[in-house]
Amino acid sequence: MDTKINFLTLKKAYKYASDLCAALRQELSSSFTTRLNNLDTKVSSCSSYANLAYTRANAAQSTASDAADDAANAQATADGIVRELKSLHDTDAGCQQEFWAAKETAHPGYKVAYLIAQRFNALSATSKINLNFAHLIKYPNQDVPTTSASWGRGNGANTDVVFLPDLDYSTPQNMAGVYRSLGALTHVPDIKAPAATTLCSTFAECKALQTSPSIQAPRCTNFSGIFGHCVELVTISTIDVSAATMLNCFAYNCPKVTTINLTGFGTPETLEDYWEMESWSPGLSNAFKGTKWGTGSDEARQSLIDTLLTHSFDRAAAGYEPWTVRLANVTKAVLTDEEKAQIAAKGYTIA
Amino acid sequence: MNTTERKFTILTASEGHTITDDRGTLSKEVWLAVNDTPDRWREITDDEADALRQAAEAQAQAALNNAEEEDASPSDTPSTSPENPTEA
Repeated sequence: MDTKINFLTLKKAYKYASDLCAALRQELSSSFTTRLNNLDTKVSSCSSYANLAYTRANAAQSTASDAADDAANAQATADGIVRELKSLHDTDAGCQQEFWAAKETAHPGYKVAYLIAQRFNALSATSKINLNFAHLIKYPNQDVPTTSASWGRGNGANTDVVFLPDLDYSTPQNMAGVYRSLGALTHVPDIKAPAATTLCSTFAECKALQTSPSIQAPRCTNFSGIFGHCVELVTISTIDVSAATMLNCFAYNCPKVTTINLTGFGTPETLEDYWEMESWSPGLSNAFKGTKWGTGSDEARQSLIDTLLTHSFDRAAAGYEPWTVRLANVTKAVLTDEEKAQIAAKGYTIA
Repeated sequence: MNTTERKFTILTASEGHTITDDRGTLSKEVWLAVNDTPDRWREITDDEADALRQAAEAQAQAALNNAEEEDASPSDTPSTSPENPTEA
């Protein structure tokens, strides 16, 4: 077990739980309705778990697995509190008013729900989705930016969101830019979005994100700029790109990225074109520009081999036109001539 | 035992030149896919390549900024395209 990773997990869980507890206690003692009082026991439990996990990890007084269990309990309890807050919000008119009135407070659970709802509310009517925060989405807000692109910029309220809860993405189709510019975001649960067709710029400019979530979006055609300008990003976890016809700027200006795990690469017969360099370029341009894909570790190199060779679609065998994959010189340098030849044999030109 | 021989083509730029496909790719060396052909590629000078890279940098940033809006209002062509684009 990697104690370093566990320690970071523990610290994250502790911060999440302790922030939530502190905010809840503040709210419970002031303006929240009495119905929230039944959460107090869970708040204490969450706080205890979090403190125990943090103490154990910090002092190394227990095994990593015990500390990890405590952290998991703290996280689970904190998530449960968020769910109960949401349930209260959905079912109690008084709570709804309190939640809404408290939108400018630092209430982490509420803030996450509010920001996500705002984000989706800012998208077009056809793309509204059910994220289990339906009541929040219904509320009109005069202060919501009218265009999705402006959300997250110049809006200081969203800059301190560190964690996203585990959300239901079963229905959204348009997830363009939903978490864009969340500058403190570090923890994103894996995403299963079976209906999504667009994930363009979804995590663009999330400048603290180091590891991406795994994303299963088998119908998604547009991944343009999904991680653009994620300058701290190191690992892009497994992402199904089997339907992707637009991958331009996929990891554009991500100078620390060494690991990219894609499955189904090259499956669509054609790429969509976009306007670049005074001509039409295929939707794969600049996909990996500026990354260090494949360098620094065996795992990183393996991700390069897996994506372009092991798990890629055999375009040559299918009779499709070749795709040109532009790789940085440092990336090309880790490929052997034999591997380049094998990639070329599957219908990929390496440039 | 089955033995399969495949032929691969490697394009290498001449001194002071860069290889391009006129579709945004600029490289000193290109390993062609088995279903690719050399006549899809040509050489340009390094100065020309540098100018294209600078233009690409600005346009990639613009594309990233525009991607969201374009997707929210999907159209057949990107908003930065000319009125009568010609396939390169």
